[in-house]
Amino acid sequence: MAAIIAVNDLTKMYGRTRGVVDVTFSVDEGEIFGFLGPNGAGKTTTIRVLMGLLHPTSGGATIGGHDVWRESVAVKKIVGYLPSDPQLDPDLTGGQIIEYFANLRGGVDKAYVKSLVDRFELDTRKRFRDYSRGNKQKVGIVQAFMHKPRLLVLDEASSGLDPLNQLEFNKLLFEVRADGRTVFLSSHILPEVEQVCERVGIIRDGALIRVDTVAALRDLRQHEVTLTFAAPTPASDFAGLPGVHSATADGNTVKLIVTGDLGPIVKAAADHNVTNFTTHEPSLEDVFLRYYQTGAPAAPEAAHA
Amino acid sequence: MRRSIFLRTLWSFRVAILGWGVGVGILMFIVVAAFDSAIGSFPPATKAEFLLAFQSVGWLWDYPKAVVSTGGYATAKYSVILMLVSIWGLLAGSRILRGQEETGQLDMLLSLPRSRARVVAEKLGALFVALLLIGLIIGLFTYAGEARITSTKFSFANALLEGLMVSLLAASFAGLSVLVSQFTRRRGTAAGITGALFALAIVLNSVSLISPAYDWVGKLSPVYYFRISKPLVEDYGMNWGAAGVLLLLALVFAGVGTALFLRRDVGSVIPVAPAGVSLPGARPAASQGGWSLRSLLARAIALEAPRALWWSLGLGLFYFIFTIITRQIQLDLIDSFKGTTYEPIITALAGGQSAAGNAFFLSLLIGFIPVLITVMAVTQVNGWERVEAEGQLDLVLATPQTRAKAILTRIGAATAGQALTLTVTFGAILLAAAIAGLTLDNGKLAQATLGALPWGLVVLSAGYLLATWIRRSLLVTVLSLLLAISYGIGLASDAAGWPEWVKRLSIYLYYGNPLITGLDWRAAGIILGLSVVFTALAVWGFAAKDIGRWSFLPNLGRRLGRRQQPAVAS
Repeated sequence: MAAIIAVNDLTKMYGRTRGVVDVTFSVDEGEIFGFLGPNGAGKTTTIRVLMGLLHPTSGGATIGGHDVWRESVAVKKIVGYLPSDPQLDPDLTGGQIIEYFANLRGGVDKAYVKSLVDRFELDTRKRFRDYSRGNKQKVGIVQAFMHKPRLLVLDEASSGLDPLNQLEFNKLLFEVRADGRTVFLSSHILPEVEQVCERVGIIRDGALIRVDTVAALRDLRQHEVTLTFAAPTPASDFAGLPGVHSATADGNTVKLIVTGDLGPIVKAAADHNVTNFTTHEPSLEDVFLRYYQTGAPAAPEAAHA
Repeated sequence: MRRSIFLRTLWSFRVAILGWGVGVGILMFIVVAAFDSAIGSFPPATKAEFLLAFQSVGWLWDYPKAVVSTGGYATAKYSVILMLVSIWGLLAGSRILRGQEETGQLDMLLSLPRSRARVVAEKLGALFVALLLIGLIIGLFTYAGEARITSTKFSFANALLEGLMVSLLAASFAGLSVLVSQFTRRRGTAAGITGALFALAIVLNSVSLISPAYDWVGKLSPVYYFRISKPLVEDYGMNWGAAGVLLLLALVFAGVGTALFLRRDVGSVIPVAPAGVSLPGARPAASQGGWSLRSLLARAIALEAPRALWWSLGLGLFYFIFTIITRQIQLDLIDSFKGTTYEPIITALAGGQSAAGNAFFLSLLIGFIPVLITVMAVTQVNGWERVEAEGQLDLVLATPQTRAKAILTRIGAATAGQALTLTVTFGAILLAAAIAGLTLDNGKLAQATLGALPWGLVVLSAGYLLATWIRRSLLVTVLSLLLAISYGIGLASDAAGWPEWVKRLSIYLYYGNPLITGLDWRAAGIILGLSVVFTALAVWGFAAKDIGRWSFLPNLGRRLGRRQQPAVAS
């Protein structure tokens, strides 16, 4: 499938301050791509470069084959954008803002706009300044989706939405995908991304440290195995086994961090008098957090072709 | 500097304290230090002519005999400049509460374990201390000028008292701005209304100068109390009662504003109109017709319209009243020379039928038009910068609109706003002249009013250009200082004996005296050309910049180094 977003060796520096460094990845047309990272990792910088709001220090990106800086108007014709904290004219009502942006874009289906407003139960008569955080986000969502763009670039899109509206928002994302359109979804909340995305890119300290499918990330899960023996047992009996990342002993108990098949451990344990055997499977959240932590493997991986 | 709200707020004013204090202080230094070589050395006959000239602008200055003394000359010539510190006072007053409510900063401050009253007290305290520091710096510079002359002197204490009067006048408008901001949703609206009240205060003070019978009108204006205290004028001196009134006004305005703030919800306003009635500037969203949402240009016009209407109203009223007052001054002059040998000359000059004579009387007043239109331009630039600083441009620029279009529509709307303001001013003077029976050369009046447009545009375009690199918190200060320096050079260069090229750095110099001599079309053309160049550079800079970030060198470096960058893969 053709890539709708192609980011190549993108570096953005703010003077001497790091924005993002040598980021390379691509997003296929028709997929929902999650862009994960902690605060300050470089998610918003990457998105603002994609939207032509920031100029790359080096490298660059294309959307739909158009350079995001030099051909930004062509890019924006096919994109719907929602910033992390949408700021709009506080004196206008939600309805007026939507009308204004519909006019700036042109060719917006009013019936579809109304359906979006109804789905999110947005009161369009209030001034923007009087909206709650969640309702401001709803106005932003409607203006991003209303022209049925080929690509949606959403920065922390569901923040501020209540659980019911989050569900509605997820449904909307699935409809977009079913339509063959693409979503680039930035978030620091893994469950949100896990629910809707096929692939994710994880960014930390300005560098992209992994791009993979959600399923592949799940495979990275490490088991915590706790073995309790009738007598003290050395950790070294298990340390060299395949898949064992670490082994520590404390009296009669040995704790192991294991990836993959547990068979060799079970066999090795059978040589001792085992009184208890427990395993704990970390959540995907834990896997994600491991990538966030400084010191975890951070080498940029090959981008998805 | 971050240990308390007071210190933090005071620290945030540091650029303004130094900028306004040193900027205005240097002007005072120059005018005082140059007194010996200017007025002090005049022969008696020239001094007498000088006195007469000041009498012709009696609406501005009420103590002409003092203009041949150092302190009197400095006070008379720069009293308007000194009053301008009040503009910073009212801008800061509108910002410390309402401005921080708009940005949400106040929510954070009020979440700290401090009472609301204490937060407000610390902020107001910092504002008043900042104004005192500005006054102190002005006083020190004034005295430094005095140390360089040998003719009529004033004491160090009196120099400081002059600075104190400047601080007190500015404090009264700062307090008023805090009070007004309790009734407005936006900081800019509060600043605009207080600015209009400041202009009204100047008008009321001037009305009181027409005749002692109108003295009571002046007493309604804080400017009146600033005027009736002249610490630098040896035989006039400090009026402690007037200083007390200004202090009282500052405290009462700020106190009432604080009391209202303590009683209302953060982010709300005190309602001033019955339900269903809306005030100008409140801009009920529902009343904004669909036309304003059709395009970037329509939206820009809708955003610019309230400002243009306020300025048109303000300047129109200002010039209407002063044209009427000018006629009154002429009649008073004729009265005072009745029966003397000068009566025929004065009657010919001030009879109202001589276009040249009337132009003489109105020319100083008209000379303020480019100053006022450039001040309007500064507020327009501030409005543009706010939109970017608050992130409102992000979504607009995410639509298929070019950056050039985004900035040019705003410049276009601002230009239309200036043109409207100048047209209304022209109409107001025409109308007032017709009512008062003043004959004017309408062609020259049109040149003097509408011809000021290039001056407004050059500041507007320079401001948009600077906005590419300077963030909002500094932009207005930098632009205001540049204008004050430009105006100050025009005022002081003759007295200071500066070379011609220095004098020519003042944009106001090129405006000349169009009501008398007609507009210098060549100069106006050059100024207009400059504004076109600045506009082109502003569009170029805006197209190249990172939205929401302000830095000069990265943009420049990027432009210069663009061809050396690796090609973007596609």
